[in-house]
Amino acid sequence: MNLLKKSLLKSPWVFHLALSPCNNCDIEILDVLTPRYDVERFGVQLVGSIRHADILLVTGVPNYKNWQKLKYLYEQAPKPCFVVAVGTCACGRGVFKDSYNSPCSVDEIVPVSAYIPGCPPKPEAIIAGFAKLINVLSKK
Amino acid sequence: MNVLTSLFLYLFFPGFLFSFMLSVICGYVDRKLTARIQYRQGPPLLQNLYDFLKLLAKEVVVPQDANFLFILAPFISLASVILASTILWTAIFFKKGFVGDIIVLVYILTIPSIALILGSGSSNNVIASIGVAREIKLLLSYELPLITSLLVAILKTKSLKLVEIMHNCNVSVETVIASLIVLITLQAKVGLVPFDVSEAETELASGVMIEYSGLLLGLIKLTKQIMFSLIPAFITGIYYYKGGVLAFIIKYILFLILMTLIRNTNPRLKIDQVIKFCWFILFPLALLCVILTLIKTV
Ligand code: SF4
Repeated sequence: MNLLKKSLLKSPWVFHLALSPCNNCDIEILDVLTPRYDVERFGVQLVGSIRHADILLVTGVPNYKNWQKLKYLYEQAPKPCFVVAVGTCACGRGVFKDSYNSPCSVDEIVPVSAYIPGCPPKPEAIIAGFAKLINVLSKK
Repeated sequence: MNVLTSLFLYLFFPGFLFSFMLSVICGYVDRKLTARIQYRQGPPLLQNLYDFLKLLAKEVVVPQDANFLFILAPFISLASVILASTILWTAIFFKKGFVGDIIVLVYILTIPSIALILGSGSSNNVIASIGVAREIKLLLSYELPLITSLLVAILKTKSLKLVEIMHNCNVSVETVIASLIVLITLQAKVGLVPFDVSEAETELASGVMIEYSGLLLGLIKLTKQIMFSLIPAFITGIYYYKGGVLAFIIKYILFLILMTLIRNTNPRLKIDQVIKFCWFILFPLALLCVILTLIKTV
């Protein structure tokens, strides 16, 4: 079993889930995946289907149009699957806290395993967040 | 050959275990080379093994409306690709085979695509069905030039036995062209980049594989990996076998690198472009090679 767990940490495939962000966080995530920061070194790969995902990268604030879809997508993902909130919006709604179109924050809908604050977070911060998540999971 | 030796061949040496290890190494070479071309560092040596083991540990999600083919298809495709690799590597290592094994090989190599079509089609997903439609068109377009250019080697050596073809096929203009056509069409068979229309991560969200998860996805990926590691051996074996062991290994690596380069330097074609390319460019070329061979041998 230990080998399986180790390989889970060695190849986390990420699925990019945008809940109406302002697009800056998404661009930073793309930055992490492209050659300059090259997270394939750690086995991280961007996948197109939720069925292949190990980590959901959530950006943006849930609104009335999509908050149920977040829940639905999380249920669709094969477990074990971890949610990472990227950006202040996804961490705690930021300035949109009292907005008319903001029912709740991400962690009230699905369990969030790691928060990466910043508006938008630097690519280095996102990689550091990954590293911390993997560290914590490997101790479990 | 009795049952036990065939079982040993199938499960261990040229069969499952050997091709699994070879596919991990080939996958590493492929991904590392891709990374270096893009000025990246690339994954560690055993990355493909980690990916496979991880997929074993994940939950398998079966769609509500799927039927039994959805689960059966990945197993069938893996079993058939292992059978193909057993036949090919047995001919290369032990110089054993039977009359007509090249035809059997061509048939077996189509089973993974058909299994994927059936399995993915039964998942009742809209995007998967688009992928399935494209996969069928792909299958129809690349089989024609592939079989025609294999005919060159068969006519040249006047034999249907893989071992005899290997030992009698001399390098000439038509075999070089035919081998390149086989390389391109087999690239389409594995779904590598110029021909990855049925997967198309960016437009179809991995298309035919969209509903697969966990173990089943791992088996499909493993099938593709093993097929990928089989292609250089297939081409070297049929068209360029003459020479020693070292020459074989060097040619194997060269073809592996060539495939990776093709996949890295080409954009994805549209499905109609693939059909036009295969039927109106590759097929006449292959036919020309066949005619040349006939003129030379008669
Ligand atoms: S955290 Fe900032 S950059 Fe990211 S989506 Fe929200 S507003 Fe945009």
